[in-house]
Amino acid sequence: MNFSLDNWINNNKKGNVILFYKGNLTNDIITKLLDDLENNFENIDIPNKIRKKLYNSVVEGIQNIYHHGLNNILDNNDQNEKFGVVIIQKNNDTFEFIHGNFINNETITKLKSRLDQINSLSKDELKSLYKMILNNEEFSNKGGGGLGMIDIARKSGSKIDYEFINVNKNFTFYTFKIKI
Amino acid sequence: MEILSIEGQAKTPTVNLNPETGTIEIKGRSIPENSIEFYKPVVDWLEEYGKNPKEKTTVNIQLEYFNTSSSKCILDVLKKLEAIAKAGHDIIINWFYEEDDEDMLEAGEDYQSIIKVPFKMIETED
Repeated sequence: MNFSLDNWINNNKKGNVILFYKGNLTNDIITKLLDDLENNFENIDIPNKIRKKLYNSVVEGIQNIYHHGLNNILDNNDQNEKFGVVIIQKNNDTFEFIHGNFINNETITKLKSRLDQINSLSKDELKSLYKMILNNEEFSNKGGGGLGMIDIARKSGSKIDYEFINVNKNFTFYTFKIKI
Repeated sequence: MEILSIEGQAKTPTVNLNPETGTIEIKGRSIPENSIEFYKPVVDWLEEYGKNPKEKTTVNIQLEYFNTSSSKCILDVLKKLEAIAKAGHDIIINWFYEEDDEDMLEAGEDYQSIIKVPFKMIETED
């Protein structure tokens, strides 16, 4: 069956939606989304501690798409990079941050092994890995060594629920979910 | 040397570097997409300041949020300060975190363990 972005959104967007965005994530749009998120936090009951963890995770997740996201490969008119879908919602007492973006199939292996590594580590092991990458690896503006994902895993204290949904022989829709 | 003063914006912190008083302040949010450009003048300033620092330098880092793109730049800033301390000058690093913000406290502890200059952890009210 062909991948349908709308179906994926419908299946994942449920509960009390705090923020939803589908489109290109430019500098200005990110600033606007983060501003909207903070304004929307004012209208819901969210403990300060959770608010900060969620905000931090959203910054990392969205900026990961900013640095690595492709265009919307299902839309011939979309020539811009940095296309992503962002869902922030509350289900019962749990906050969920979900994002999805298109990636090249050849990046799956490396990304999956990093995600599996992060999910296999304890809190202390994540701390050590974070410090090791921070202090040793070469960085660019795109970040280094998956530090953003490690940061989200550390702050949320939960496992990353990811999926690689094949679109065609070249592309995959990569989804990332975390509960806070 | 001249004072370096940068006004904070939505995704970047307020920076005040004063060579006369030996005060270094970074406050607010540091969540830009591209942190290297933002921090370059700060790191360059500290490199220059380190050549002839005050006998005592006071550093105040009071961040509400910082992203991982900034984390390496903040480490670069702290490493410049470590070098000044190693040269025998006094450096006081005050790391502020909001009440209950264990993540920001832990971030300070992470940095402290890397640069090996003691931090003074200061809790502030929300």
